Amino acid sequence: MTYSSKQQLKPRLLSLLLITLFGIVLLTGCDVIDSVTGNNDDDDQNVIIHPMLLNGSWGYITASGNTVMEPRFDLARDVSGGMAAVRNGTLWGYIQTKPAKLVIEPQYSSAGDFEDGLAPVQLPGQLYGFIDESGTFIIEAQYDFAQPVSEGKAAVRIDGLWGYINSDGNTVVEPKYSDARPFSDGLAAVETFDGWIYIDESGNEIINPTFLISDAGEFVDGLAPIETGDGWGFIDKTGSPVITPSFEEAGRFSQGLAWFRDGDYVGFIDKNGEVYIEAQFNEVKSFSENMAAVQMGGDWFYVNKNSKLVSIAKPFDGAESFKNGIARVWQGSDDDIRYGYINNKGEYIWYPTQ
Amino acid sequence: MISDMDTSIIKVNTFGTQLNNRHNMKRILLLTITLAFTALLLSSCNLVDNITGSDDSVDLYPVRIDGEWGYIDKEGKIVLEPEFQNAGDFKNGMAPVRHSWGWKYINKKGEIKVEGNFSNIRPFSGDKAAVQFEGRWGYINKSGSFVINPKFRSASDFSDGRAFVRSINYSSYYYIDENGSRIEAVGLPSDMDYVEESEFRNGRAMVRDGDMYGYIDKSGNTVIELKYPEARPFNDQLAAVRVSDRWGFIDSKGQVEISPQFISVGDFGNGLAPARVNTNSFGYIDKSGQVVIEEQYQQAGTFNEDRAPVLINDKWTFIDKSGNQITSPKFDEVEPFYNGLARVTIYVPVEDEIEENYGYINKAGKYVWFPTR
Repeated sequence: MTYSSKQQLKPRLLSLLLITLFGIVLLTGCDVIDSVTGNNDDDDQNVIIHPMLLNGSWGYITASGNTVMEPRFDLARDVSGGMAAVRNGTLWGYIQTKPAKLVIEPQYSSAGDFEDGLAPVQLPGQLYGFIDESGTFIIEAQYDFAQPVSEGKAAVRIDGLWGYINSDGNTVVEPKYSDARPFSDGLAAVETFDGWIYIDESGNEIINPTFLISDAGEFVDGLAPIETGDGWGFIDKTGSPVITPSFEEAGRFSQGLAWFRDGDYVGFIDKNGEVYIEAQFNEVKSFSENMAAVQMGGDWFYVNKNSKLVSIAKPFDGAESFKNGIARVWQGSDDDIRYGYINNKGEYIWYPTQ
Repeated sequence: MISDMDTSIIKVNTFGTQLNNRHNMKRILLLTITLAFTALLLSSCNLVDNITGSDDSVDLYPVRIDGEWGYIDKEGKIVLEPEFQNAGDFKNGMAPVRHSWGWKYINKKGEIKVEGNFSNIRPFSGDKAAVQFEGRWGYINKSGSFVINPKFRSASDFSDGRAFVRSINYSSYYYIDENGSRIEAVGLPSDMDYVEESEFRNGRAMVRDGDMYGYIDKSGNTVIELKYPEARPFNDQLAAVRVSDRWGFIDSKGQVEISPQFISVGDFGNGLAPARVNTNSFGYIDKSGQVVIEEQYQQAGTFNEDRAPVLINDKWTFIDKSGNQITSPKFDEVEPFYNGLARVTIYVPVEDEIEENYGYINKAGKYVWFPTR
C-alpha cells in the first residue's frame, strides 16, 4: 500500500517542483531583463509566453492573448529559463522567448527544462548531457538520466545510481542513491536503502531521522512533506516532525499553505499544521497568486486564498495553477480537448481552442 | 404585445365561465374580472410606455398563468409578465426563478441579477441564499459570489443567523454560523425531513436525545434541559412543551409561562396560539393562557400579520384576532400572509385529475388575484 501511494505521489511532487522551478526562473528572468534593458510591462508580456493549441498544432501567446508564435509544433511546453521545449514528431528542440523563435532544431529524444542556461537532453540512442542556449553540449553526454539544474546543481544517474553535479559538470555528490530530488532551500531529498534522507550542498547527510521516511518532497520555507508509517507530515530543517505525520496525503507548501487529504476530500493547512480550508474538494492544485484550482463533483474551479471561497465558479474539465496572472484551463478530453487561458476574474484571455 | 393581450382576455373569460359553473359567487367573479381587466389595462399601458418592472419598495407575488409564472403587485396588477417556468418569493429584493431551464435570481425589475451553474436554488434569507452547485449546497451573496463554499450535501435557509446542514460525506448534521463555521451541539436532528422544526427562532433551536426534547442557544449550549417528551420550536418568544399528558408554554430561559393544561396546542403568533382545552376542536389562547377565541376549528394555524388559517368543514379560511372569518371557508390549501397577501390554492377537477389553481387574497379576504392555472 505504501508503495503504491508513493508511486502516485511522485508525478505530483515532480509537477510541483516544476512549478516552483518555473516560478523561480520567471522571477529571476524578469529581474535580469529589467535590469539590463529597463523593459516596460508590454515587453515583459512578450517574455512570458504560454503554449496554445490551435487547429491541432501548438504555438505561443502572450499573457494578453496575442499570438507570438504561429502554431507549428506537435507539442509545446511551458517556458523555463527563457526557453521552451517543443516537439515535432518524436524529436524535441527549443524556442527562445524574446523574440519568440525556434533556436534549437528538434533533434533530441528527450529534453528537460532550462535553468541557469543549461538543459538536460538526450540525442537518440545516446546518453544524457547538458546543452547551452545555442544547443552546444557544455556537459558531455555521459549519464543514464539527468534532471534539470536547480540551485546550481543537477541530479544525474550513472550506472543506476543518483548523484549531483554542478553547472561546470563537476561531481559534487557521488552517485550512490536509488532516487534523488532537486535541491531546494539548500537541501535535496535522496533515497537510500533505508528510506529517504536529506543532504546539503556538500553531500552531507544532515537529515537522517530515527524514523523511516518512505517518501519525501522538497523544502519550501523551511518545511518539507514526508511520508512515515503514520502518514504524511512535515519536517523542519533539523529533521524534526513539526507537523505531526497524520495525513493520508499532503503536498508541499506554497504561499504558506499545503494541501492535505482526509478521506475522500482535500483541504489546506497552514504552517502551524492548523486546518486553513477544511477538506471539501475532491482534488486540488497548489496555491499560486492567491488562487488554487479545486475539483468538485468532476469539474474544476478556483478558490481564493484570502476569502477561502470559490471565486471562479465557471466549470472547467481541467485547470492549472495561475502564473503571471493567467491560468491554463481545458474543456473536453482526449481527442476533443480544447485549451484556453483565463485571468483571475475567470474571464477568458484565450478562448479554448483545439 | 397585442397577442399577449388577446390571450389574457381569453384567460379572463375562461376562468369566468369556470367560476360560473362551479361556484355561485357572481360578485367575486365580477370583482375579479374587473380587477384582472384593470390589471391588464394597467400592464398593457406599462408595456406601451415601455416601462416594465417596479421599484424596490413594491411587494411582488408570484402567479401562474397558463403554466408560466410572472409576478403581480399587491393590487393584482401584473408587474412582471409570465415568462418563467417557476418562480419563488421575493426576499430582500431578489427572487429565484427558473428561466430558459436554468435557475436564476431576478430583481423587482425582472432583470437577471445572478446566474450560475446552479441545479437548485432557494430564496434569499437575509443577505444569503442557499444554492446547489455540483451536487453540493453552499451560500451566495446578492452579487452571486460564494460566501460559504458549496461543501454540504443539504443545507437549510438561514434563520436567526444559523443554518442547518448535512456534511459532504453524509456523516453528520449540524448548525453553521454566518461564516459557515460548525457549531458543536448535542441532540441534533439526524435528518432534514422537518427543516422548519430545526430552525433557530428567538435564539433557540429544538434538540432531542432519545425521546426527550430540550433547546440549545446559538452557540450550541444546551440552555433548556432535555426533559420534555414532546415539544415545539420557539415562536413569538414562547415554546410549546408537553409535560405528562398536557401542553403548556415556556419562555427562552425554560420558565413556565403557561402551565400545562391543554390537550393540544400550536405555535404563538401575534400574541395568540391555537389550543384545545377540552373538546375535539381548536380555539385560540392569549399569553396568559385565557381562551380568547372559542374552540370551533378542525385545524388552526399560527397567527401571522394578524391573520390565522383555520379549517372548517374541510375547507380553509383565515380569521382575524377577534375570530371573524375574512372569507367563507373555501380554500383547499393556504399559505401564511406575507406582505399583506396570502396565497390560496383551489383544487379544480379537470377530467380525471385535480389541478391546483393559485390565487391571492388580501387581509380583507378579497381576491386580488383569482386562482389561475
